[in-house]
Amino acid sequence: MRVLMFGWEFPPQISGGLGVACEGLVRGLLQTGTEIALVLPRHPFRKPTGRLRIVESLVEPSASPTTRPAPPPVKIRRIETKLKPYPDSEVETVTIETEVVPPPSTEAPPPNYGPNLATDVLRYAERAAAIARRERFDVIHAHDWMTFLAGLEARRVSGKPLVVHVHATEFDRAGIEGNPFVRDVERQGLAGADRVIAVSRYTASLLAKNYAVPRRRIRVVHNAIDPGQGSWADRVAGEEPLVLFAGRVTRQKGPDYFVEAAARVAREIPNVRFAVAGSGDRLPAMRERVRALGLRRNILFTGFLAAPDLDRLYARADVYVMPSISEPFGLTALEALQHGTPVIVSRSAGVSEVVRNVLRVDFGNVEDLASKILSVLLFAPLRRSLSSRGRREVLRLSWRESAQRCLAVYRELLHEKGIVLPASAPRRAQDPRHALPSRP
Amino acid sequence: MNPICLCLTAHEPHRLRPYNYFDVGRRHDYWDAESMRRRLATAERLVYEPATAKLAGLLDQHPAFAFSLAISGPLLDQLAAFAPKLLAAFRSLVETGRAELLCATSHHCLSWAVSASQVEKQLRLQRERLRRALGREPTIFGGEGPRETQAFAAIAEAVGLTGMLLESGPTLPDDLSRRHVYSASSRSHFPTMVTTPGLPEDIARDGDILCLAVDLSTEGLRRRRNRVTLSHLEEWLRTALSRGIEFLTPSEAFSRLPPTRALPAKAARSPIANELQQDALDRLAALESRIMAAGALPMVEDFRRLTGSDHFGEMTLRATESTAQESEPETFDSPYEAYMSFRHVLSDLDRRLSLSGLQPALSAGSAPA
Repeated sequence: MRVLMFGWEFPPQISGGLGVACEGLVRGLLQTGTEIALVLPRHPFRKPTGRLRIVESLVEPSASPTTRPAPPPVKIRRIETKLKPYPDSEVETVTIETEVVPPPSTEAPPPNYGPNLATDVLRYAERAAAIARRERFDVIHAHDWMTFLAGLEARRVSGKPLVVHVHATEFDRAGIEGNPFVRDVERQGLAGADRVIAVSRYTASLLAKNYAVPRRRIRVVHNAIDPGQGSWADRVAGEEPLVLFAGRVTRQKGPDYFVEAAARVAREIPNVRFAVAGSGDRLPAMRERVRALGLRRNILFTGFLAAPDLDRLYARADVYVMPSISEPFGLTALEALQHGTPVIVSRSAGVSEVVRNVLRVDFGNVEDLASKILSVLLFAPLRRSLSSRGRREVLRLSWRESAQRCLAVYRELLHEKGIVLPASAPRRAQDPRHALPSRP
Repeated sequence: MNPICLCLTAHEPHRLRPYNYFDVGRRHDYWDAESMRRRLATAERLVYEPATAKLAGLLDQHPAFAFSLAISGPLLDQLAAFAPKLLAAFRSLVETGRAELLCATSHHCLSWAVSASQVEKQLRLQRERLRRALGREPTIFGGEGPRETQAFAAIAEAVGLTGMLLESGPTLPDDLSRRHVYSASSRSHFPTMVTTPGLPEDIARDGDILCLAVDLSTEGLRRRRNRVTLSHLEEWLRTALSRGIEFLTPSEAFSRLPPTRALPAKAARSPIANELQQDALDRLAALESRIMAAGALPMVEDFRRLTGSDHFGEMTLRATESTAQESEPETFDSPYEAYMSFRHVLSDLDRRLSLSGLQPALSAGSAPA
């Protein structure tokens, strides 16, 4: 099986779950013997070989230094941009709310979520046709709205089936106030795809409801996590209890509920500490509320944290809280569980469809959230059970299994088109040439 | 062919409401009356009402038909509160003299959770409640396998009961045969039978007797989709009756069949399988003597309801091992929710005790563990 895959983020260039999920899926597909041509806007960090080739779509040959440092922390801001929605619409001005990397004073403008995001998305789509003519593949796989137009373009020139993979929608990110351009691109991609993969049943139902995607075209493939990264130990006696929030500080992630619950918890356990690892447009409001509630001594804002630092926080925390308003999946919950950290998630979060050893809350119910945080901190048997059983549960998950489900979707499409692939090549999963290098 | 001793059990638990940290000291109504009323109404419509009607019909048509009826204490409470018509239907069955009432602990308590004296009190209480509500006083114990069968038999005997029907299940030793009458006490031959759950295809067996238990609530409700269970029960009974098989009540069986062997002295396996259950149990048990010493009836009643085995069943973590929806516990979202509510309720009960001024508060979760 050969896949032409359109991605946008890829480690180490990530700002959220999309890049992590994309890498995990690529890793899992490679293990099944799938060949992948992965198209990314820019990816100067490494050039894997073997069954994975990375095609940099938006890089001019001369402007691509071979080594560039990992991008600085992301910030959220609103930008205005002139853009021409695909393919023949009028030029219009829209506001795009997205993650952008603040230009470091000494460096060139940063990759992938720059102020020209919409333009980048369109250029990326335009170049997809040439790439699709050049590459040999059986199926097209596109991740989230930034790549949907490219996927459609590749489908148009090649006639190959298109799978679009929804990690989040504009409704998740912004509710009904979302960006009309983004939503329009999402609609086009979802309508033009042969199959839609949703990261959870929750997302599948949102797609059916908000985008009128027929259920028969949707398949659910849950995200996963690969074993081996968590370090685990029960909390050291005498340490102050620590409650962790990690993720973009945007309305979607429910930071307001976290602060309100924190105030209730701190009234009961005055020496409790809260860590907020992440950054985003709600951060100033969050800080302001923390001041107003007199919680400055209890809450630490770390800003965006990358893997090794975040891993240390996971391992140190007594409980990880994800009170999102809308959470298509919630990979960080799996990362926390891998470190043996008890997790509290919103009831509807996609992740709670694959793990059961977590506590669930209705996202707006601050009292229930505070009560559950207190319960985990106060009841040692509860903490130990959630920790050991939760960890055991995530160890059973693997990206390879998610990849197998994607393969089943590809096969289903090829079967419908009457295409029979030659017997698959023997699996060489152990061959180091076909493995992705480990994360930096 | 062996005679058959049929035991029909009916139980609906006292259901705890979701109760959080901030409810402690704020509200003392731990029990979800609305949920109990609703669930009982469903059970009545789907199972109990048609079951009592069918049984009344069978008793009417077959003078040789007899069985025993184990109505749990919590169900008896709920019948009195929410379903007087159903209570009357049970009473009519009992009044025929061929539906023998069995006695269990008044609060369906997990005997691991409480002292021997608490078990004794609950047995006496249930016997009295059954006499008042259904007009007959039970003489045989019928319920879940107790912690230590011989010690339990001694308690039952002291209360004035004359025999036991033990429900078999995962908590009883495997080497028990279900086809014999045992003696549970070496001194006085306290007769005991172990029931087999369900209805076997093959009725004829070796041994002295076939003692069967059919759980009306489970059999009727959880498998209601195939709608065969009640009619299957009726059909099975009609077949057995038409083949001339003899039905005995436990009292009749014990008077006719003397014990042939001693009940193994082994204690039953504890149903407590995880840390949450053990912690809940320990903290509950630690309250008993103070509650009884305080003697305030509302607190005693709350405590007794908390000894109900269903609360510990809700904390079974097996349900979290698979993603199968069927294994989901009933009242709570997860075993963790059941445990948290239980712990917070204990904190409140502990606080009420302290406020009643008899004892200083022992910590029931007021500092980081």
